[in-house]
This record gives sequence, structure tokens and C-alpha cells, in this order.
Amino acid sequence: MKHLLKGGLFALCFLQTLPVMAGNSTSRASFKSSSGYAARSPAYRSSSTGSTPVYKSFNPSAGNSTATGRTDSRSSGLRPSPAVQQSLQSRYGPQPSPQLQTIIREKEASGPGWLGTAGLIWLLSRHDLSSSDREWINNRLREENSSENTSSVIEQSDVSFQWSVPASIINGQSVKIVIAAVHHGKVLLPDCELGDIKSVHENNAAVLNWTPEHTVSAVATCRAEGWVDQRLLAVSQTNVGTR
Amino acid sequence: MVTKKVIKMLMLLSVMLLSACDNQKAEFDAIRTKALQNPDPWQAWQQLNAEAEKACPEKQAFPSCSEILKTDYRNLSFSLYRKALKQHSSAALTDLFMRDDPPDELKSQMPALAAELISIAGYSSGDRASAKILAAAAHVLDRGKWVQQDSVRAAAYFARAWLAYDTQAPASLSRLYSEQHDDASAVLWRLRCTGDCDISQAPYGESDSLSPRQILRIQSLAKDRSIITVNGQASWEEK
Repeated sequence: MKHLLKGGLFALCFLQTLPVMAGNSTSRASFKSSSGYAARSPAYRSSSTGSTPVYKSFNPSAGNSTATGRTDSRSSGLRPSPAVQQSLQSRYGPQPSPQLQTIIREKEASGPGWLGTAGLIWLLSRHDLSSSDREWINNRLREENSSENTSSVIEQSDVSFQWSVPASIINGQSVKIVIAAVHHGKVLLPDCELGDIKSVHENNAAVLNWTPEHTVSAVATCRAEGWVDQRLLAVSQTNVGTR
Repeated sequence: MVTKKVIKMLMLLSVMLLSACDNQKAEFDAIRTKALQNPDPWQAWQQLNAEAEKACPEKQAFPSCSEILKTDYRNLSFSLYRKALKQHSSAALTDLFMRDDPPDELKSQMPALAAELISIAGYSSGDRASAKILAAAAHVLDRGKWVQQDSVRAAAYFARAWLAYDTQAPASLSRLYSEQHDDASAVLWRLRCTGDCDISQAPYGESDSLSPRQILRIQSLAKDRSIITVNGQASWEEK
């Protein structure tokens, strides 16, 4: 009897939950949050105050690079992989003598990537080379060195931006920010902006005349010779200095 | 005799369950009235979430609400959320762009909403309360999904978020500059990624192309909070 009663109760409970379970299984578009009915699908990790959400960065790591549509191009483009290094013998124009070609083929048979800088130097150490073969190897070495240099050095900005910013910026008080740019000793005239304000040119420098209102921060952006320089300006409410 | 008792019990249980459902419906009606009367739809949305969680807890062995009631809560929640967006609530906009995928119903409006988010963030004061919207706008500009990618503006927003105590902004900036192959600036922001800042969000390796002297110079520059970008490699040693 007891078992029968238990079975009946269980069946009733099960029947009650069936529609809910069925609803879940159809995975209807829900709008739920971590705290209730608005699930957050975190996009980036916050911040400081972070009481509510825990965000994740839009970092294009291996896992989500397709989602963000970005990949780390540094790993793919800038440094040639050894696997891509093919036989110098076929890559460069004039061919060496048949004797040197045979030597190279034999060495390359031991594995890919043999004919790098070290291999070329080893070849140069041979005493049985003709002058034209020596010249061929030296040319290859020069090309090898120059390609290594260009691939490993990333272009760094050679434009120097010089900023003259008041030590203290206070809301309601106008300030004058002067920006100059120099490229290998040559003075450039940068174009700058700060919010809606555009710079004016005075004596080979860009000048931003700005009166901050009810703000804590602003960013000034300058451009010269294709390079961009930015400065973060902290604004204080009273005359007590900046953060 | 025994069968009769069982039938009685089952009928009693059915009545109890039906009456519980009626109570839940009445409770929902009261919650809905209160939510719709709230002049701040974002606050109403937050309150509704808490009340819905209480009424229909998610983590229970047996679901306590019918699917119909759950749908009612969801629909009300979404309606309040949409109302908050219509009223240009910065909290709602920030929340929306924190999501990897917005609700389907809002997808067509996302470009316009993204532009609104960026505009509101741009005019924010930059105080602590602005940190989230600044960071959200920066990510939108950096990601380039709903508006055209603009790394320069993204960097400006991230930097302001950092000044507003967003701890993750330095890692985001380090990654941003690293992707642009601006290794000096990437190292500068990596140095500033301290404390709660999750450095794993920014890839290592930027310093490979820099000399020891340059790295030391960047360490020195990083102490100046106003510096966002490192330019002028040639003149580093003069400074």
C-alpha cells in the first residue's frame, strides 16, 4: 500500500514537471541573467568595481579567434617558418656550378632547412670552390641576412611627439596644450584633436585650446607622418592637483 | 478500500498543485504591475530578475514553475530591457554590449545601439561610474563587429576606463597594440597590468623586437600616467 502511494505521488510530480522539461529541451530563446532572468553571456572581464558581472576579454586567443574574427598576425606573417625555407638553389636566379649543386642536393637530402646561413658558411669553408661559386654563396648570404633582418624587426615609430601639457588641469579653467613632432631632426606639424576640438597651428606646433567642463579625463590624439600619439589628460575638480 | 484512499490522496494533491499554480500566477501579476509602474525600466528589470529567481529558482531538482509562467517572466523581462534601451539607459547599453551575442530580436538594431553607446561613453565624465560604459565602448570599437573598427578611438576609451579604475583595461590595450605591431606601446601597457588585471589576456612576446635599453626606457615612461602610446624610438635616449 505504502509503495503504491509513493508511486502515485511520484507519478503526479513527474506529470507536473513534464511540460517544463519539454520546454527546456526545445531550448527556446531565453533572456536570462546570471542573477535571474537575463543570462549574461560575458564578453569581457571587468573592471574594478565589478560587483555584478564578470566579463571576459574579447581576447582573440586560440579558442575564440574565429568568433572575434581576429588572429595574431605576428605568429603567421612576420617571421618565416623554417618549413617555408626552400632550397636556395631553386629560389635564386643564376645557378651555381653542377659540382656545388650536387653538394647542396646531398646536404638537403639530410633534411629540410639545411641551407640556411650556417649551411652557406659551411660551404664557403670548402677549398674546392670556384670563384663564381664563392660569389654565388656570398650573394645568397647577403640576401639571407637582409631577409632575416627585415622579417624580425618590426617597424617602430621614429617620429617623436613632444607635448607641453599644464601640470594641473582644472574644470572650468582653459588650458593650452602644445604639441610638436620631430622626425630625424625635421620638425613636423601634427594634427591633433581633443573630443570635438581640433588643433590650430602656431609656430610649427599644434595647439589645443581647451576648457574642460564636468569631466575627469580626456584623451588628446595627434597624427604625424602616419603615426598616432595619444595622451591621457586627468582633470581635477578643484585646484589640488591631478591624480 | 485501499484504492479509494489512493484516489482521494491523488485528487487532494492535484487540487493543492492547481492552487499553488494559481498563487504563482497571482504573484506574477502583482510583480508585473509593480514593474510596469516603475518609471526606471532598468531598475524594474533588475528587480524582476531577482523576483523571478525567487519565484522560479533555476537550480532545483524539480522545476517549481510551469513553462508558461517562465515564458511570462521572460517576456516581461525582455520588454523591460527593450524599454530601458529605448530610454537610452547607459546601464542597459553597457549590459547589451557585454554579451557575446545579443538577443535575436535586437540584432538589426545593434549598429545604431553601438553608435549610441560610443556617443554616451564619449560624453561621460570619466569617473568611476563611467568605467563600464567606457570599457564597453572601447571593446565595440576594438572588435569592429557592430561599427567599423577604430583602434585609435578604442585606445582612447580604454585609457579613460583605466583612469576610471577599470583594472582590465591595461591588458586590453596591450593586446590592441600588440595586434598593431606597436610593440613598445604593448609593453608599456603590459607593465601597467598589475593587481587584478589579468595579464593572460594579452599575448607575450612584444619585447622580442626591443633592446634592453628600450625596455628600461618604456618602464620609465609607464610611470607617467598620461602616456598612452610610445613613439619616437630615435629620441628615447634624449629624454
